[in-house]
Amino acid sequence: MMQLDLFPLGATSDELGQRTFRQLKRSGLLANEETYQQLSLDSLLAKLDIEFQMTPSQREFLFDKGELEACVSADQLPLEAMSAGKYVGIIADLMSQAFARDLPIPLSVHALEPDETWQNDLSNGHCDFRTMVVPSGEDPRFSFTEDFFQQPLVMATTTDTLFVNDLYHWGAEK
Amino acid sequence: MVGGDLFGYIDEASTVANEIQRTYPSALKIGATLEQEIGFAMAVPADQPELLKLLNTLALRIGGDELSVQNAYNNWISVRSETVLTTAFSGRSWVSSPS
Repeated sequence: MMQLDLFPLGATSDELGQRTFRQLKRSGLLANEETYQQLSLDSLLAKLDIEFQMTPSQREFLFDKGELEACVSADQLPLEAMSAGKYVGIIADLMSQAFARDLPIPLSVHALEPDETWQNDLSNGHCDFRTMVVPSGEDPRFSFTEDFFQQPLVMATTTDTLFVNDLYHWGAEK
Repeated sequence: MVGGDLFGYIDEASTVANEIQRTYPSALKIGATLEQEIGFAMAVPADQPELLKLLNTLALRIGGDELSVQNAYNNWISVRSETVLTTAFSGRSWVSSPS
């Protein structure tokens, strides 16, 4: 029997979700340590969106890896840094959100030592990818994604200097 | 620069803003914005095309979510607001400090 007018198409019911969860636990189909999480259709669709685009070999690659390890700068705020063992900064926020939202495996980080370059660490397999580079295209050992964060170039001046619209303007005044 | 040896220092906006905010809030400001931008990307070993494709999709989704990018920026940078008034008469730009 189907009761078509109980819920609108696409609706989710937290009450039904909790009841089903309890039933699955009682029947032993879910482990005791599992906890109930409210289903959000938006977050589910956001995850499906990228997961649908994965090829079987990408899925296999991710599940074999278990996590993706990123080479990150230890001291480059506000972009990214390690603080008390935690990955922080603008890029860190963007990466953490994107992994939690879009990928089925977690992000882990490998902080670059001050005397080490990301090129060496990535080549030596200390991490799977580098979070934040300005692509040069000149090193055949690496490939680069599209840009995901853009910033304009700016010039810092002393506070008593008038605002300069562009460097050509500044050059002419100079 | 604060000592007067240099006229200006050029870098990407978030790093300059952070350094001014953290170290020289009363002595330095962002005095010019250039037309050029720096774009940050992810790098993978060249022999990992599957990972590149996956992270490229992720990069496009991060970059396309302007609200999240703006929120992440605002979490780390508070920009001092300045109004730039360009006078057509003199062709020069002036800065008006916020009241």
